[in-house]
Formats: sequence, C-alpha cells, structure tokens
Amino acid sequence: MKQPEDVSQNGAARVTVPTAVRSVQGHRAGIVTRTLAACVDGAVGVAAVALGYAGAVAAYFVLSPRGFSFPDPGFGVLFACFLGFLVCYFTLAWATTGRTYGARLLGLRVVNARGGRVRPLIALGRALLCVFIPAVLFWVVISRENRSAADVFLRTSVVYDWASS
Amino acid sequence: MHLGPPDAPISASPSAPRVPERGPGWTGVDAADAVLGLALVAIDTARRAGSLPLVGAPLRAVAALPGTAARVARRQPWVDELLRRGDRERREALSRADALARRVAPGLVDSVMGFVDVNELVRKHVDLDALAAELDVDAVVARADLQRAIDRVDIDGIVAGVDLQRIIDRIDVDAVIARANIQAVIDRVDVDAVVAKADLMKAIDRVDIDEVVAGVDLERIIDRVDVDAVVARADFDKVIAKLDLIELAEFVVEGIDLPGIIRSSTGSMASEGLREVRRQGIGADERVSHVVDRLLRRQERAPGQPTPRGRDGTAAPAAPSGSDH
Repeated sequence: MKQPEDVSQNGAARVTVPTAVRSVQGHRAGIVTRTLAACVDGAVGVAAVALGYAGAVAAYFVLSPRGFSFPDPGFGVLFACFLGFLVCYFTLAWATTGRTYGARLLGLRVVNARGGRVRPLIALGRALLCVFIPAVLFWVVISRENRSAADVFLRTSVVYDWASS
Repeated sequence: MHLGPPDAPISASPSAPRVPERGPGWTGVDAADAVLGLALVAIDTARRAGSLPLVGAPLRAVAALPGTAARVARRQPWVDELLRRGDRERREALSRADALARRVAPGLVDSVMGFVDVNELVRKHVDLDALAAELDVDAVVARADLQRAIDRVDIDGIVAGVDLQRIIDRIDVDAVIARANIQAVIDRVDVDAVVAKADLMKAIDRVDIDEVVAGVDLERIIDRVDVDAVVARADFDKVIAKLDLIELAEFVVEGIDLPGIIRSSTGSMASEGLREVRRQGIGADERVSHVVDRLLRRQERAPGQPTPRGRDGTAAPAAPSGSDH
C-alpha cells in the first residue's frame, strides 16, 4: 500500500491546492466542515441501508416470487443496520485512508497525534463514539484546538487535507 | 752571527780584536799586520832602489832572472810532465774540495741561518716595492701555463672543504637582488625552451593538489568572477542540444510523482463547485470559531496542526499518514 507523505509536507501535491487555502492545510478543521462531512457520511449510511434493503428485497423476490411482498423489518432493525454500517464504514475508512467519503468531499483527514495513520483499534473506538454519541463532535465548538471529545479521548485530529483528496 | 753594513768601522764589530786598556800587547792580528807592513815597506824600498841610476840596472837584471829561467825551463820536456802531474793533482784537489763543500755546506748554511733573521734582513735592506714595481707581471702571467696549473688543482676537494652555508649566510641576498637587473636576466631566458624541456607531468605528480586547493580562498575568487558575463557568453542552445531532454523529463516526473499529482488533482479538483464548498466550509469554520471565542471572551483560537512527536516525546518530523486510495 502506498504511503503518502504528511499533508503539509507533501510539496508536490500541494501545487494542486489553491493558494488562498494552502496556509490552513494540515490544521484542525472546524465544526461546520466536520458537520457537513458527517452529514454526507450519514447520507452514505442511509444510502447503504437503502441499498441493503433493496438487495434484500430483490433476493427475497428471487427466492419467493409468488408469495412476494415488501418486507417490513421495522425502524429498529434498519436503524441498527444503519449504525452498524457506520461503525464498520468509519473504522475501515479511518484505519486505511483516514478519510470517509464525506471527509473526502470536504477535504478532511483523520490522523493520530503524530499526524499519521490511525491504528485500527483507535479507529474502532472513535467510530463507536462518533456513531453512538454523535454529540461528542460538538466539543469542537468549545475546544481551543478544534478537537472533538473523541479526539481528546483518543488523541486524534481531523485536519484539512485538500492535496491528497 | 751578525752581518753589519760594509762601511761600518772595524771596531764596531763585536768580533774585532780589542786593544787592552792596560797597554799594548801582541795578538795574532797584530803580528799579521806587522808582517804586511814590513812587506809593503820592502816593496816600496825595492821600487825606489830600482829607480836609482847605478843600482837600478843590476837590480832589474837580477829581477828578470827568474822570468828568463822560467822561459828556458818551459822548453824542457820534464817540465811538461811536471805540469801534467800538477794539473791532475789540482783537479783532484778541487774535486775533493767540492765534495767536502757539498757535505758541509747544508749543515753550515742551516747553522748560519739559525743565527740570521732572513726576513728581518730582507725587510731592512731590500726595497721590495721597487723590485715589485720593476716586475713585469704580464710577462710572468703570459709565460705561465695557467691551464696546467688549474688541471693540477683539486677543485672538488676545495669545494668540499668550503662551508658554503656559512658563506651564504654572510651574503646579503636582498642587496644582491636589489642591484641585479632581474628584468634583463628574464629577457635573456628562453622560457619556451625551458618549459619544453621540463617534465611538467612529473612536477604535477609531486604537487599535493588537495593541499594547494585547501589554501585557496575560493570565496574570494568567486566574488571576483562576473557570473553574469559568464552566463551571457554561454551558448545555451548548444548545451540544450547536448541534453537528453526526454530522459531528463522522465527523471523529473519520477521525482515529483506526477501521476500522483494528476490523480489527486482530478479527484479533488474535478468540480469547481466542490472546491467552492470546501472553501466556504473553511470560512464558516473560522467565523464560528471567532464568534464562539468572542462569546466565551477568550483569545481567538489557533487550531494548529498535530505535532509530530518521536517515541521519547520529543518533536520529530512528520510521519506518513494513511493511504490515499
């Protein structure tokens, strides 16, 4: 797997970043951008659940076309699937590239205290916190370092990274 | 022995007989002088008697008798024999005397020279300046076989015995150089011929180039170089023609990871609208932070970036982050 350089040090990639925002690359992102990214990721989760439901319906139809009717798993099951998907999705994304789809769109990246890739266990803990206690995100508003409660607990950061996105 | 001047009185000589002050006495010299005086008186008396009229003729006749007798005797044969014998004896006596003189003379001369200070004698009685003035030195030199004399001289031995270092120490080289016309000497030197004969490669091999370069103030030399003028004279077209631009371009692309740049730029910059959303998001972040900081009445935040730290907690270069795929 290719290991890109640190966001602020990747000189070759930085040429693609507009001059106006080049100075904030690598800095911790604020609440608006992160919330937007979280919304996009939520939408991704909803889409994933919807796709999963559609897949399940298609499979059910193929297996039993005569007695087919749209299944009604109930909100609880779907919501659980939604949360479970998000946990898996966040863990996988942060432990590998450091960015989810929402973070990629908004030019963000999750890094550890050294500015490097987050370890899988840390990524899992962070995903659980963010999915089940989403309010931890709003500590960014109070924090002088733009760190959420999850970031404080797990010594991670979310930084602007347009260069490699 | 002292040799006094020839005109010095006899009494001045230390070896002259002295007359006793107590009265006249006979010495050997006095006796000889008395005999000589008597002989002179006799001769004078005889001469006077020969000049008398009556007595002179018989006396002259008597005096002539020995001569006449000698002439008569000379004509006799036994006289010739007598003469030959006498001549032989005389020659032998001379030969013996000569041999005796040859044996005795060296010792005698040494003995005599021991009593005489010859140098003082020559200095006192000989006018050396006058002799030297009359000496024809040119003629002497012309007759001398100088080449032969030089051939007999062991110059190597003389030079070996000379303390040249001491001589050189005593020479005022600065004064010599000041008087020398160096330019004239240089003009007479055929530098091309000298350089042609010199083995420059051998000389260069003996030079420690590293040491020479270490002693050179390159900064000062570079300061004196007009780089602009050098660049102006350079023929860049010729330089570029020699370059393999394709290979150079491949090297540069490999160094800057151009495919990665293109990949990331197409991913991130594909949509101008997306870039605008990101920019607006950053602006909104800053505004929200500004408002919150003002509400909380604190200094404006400085989010900064995660500080890369080493294992020991000290600051370290940024570590690689996650993959971009």
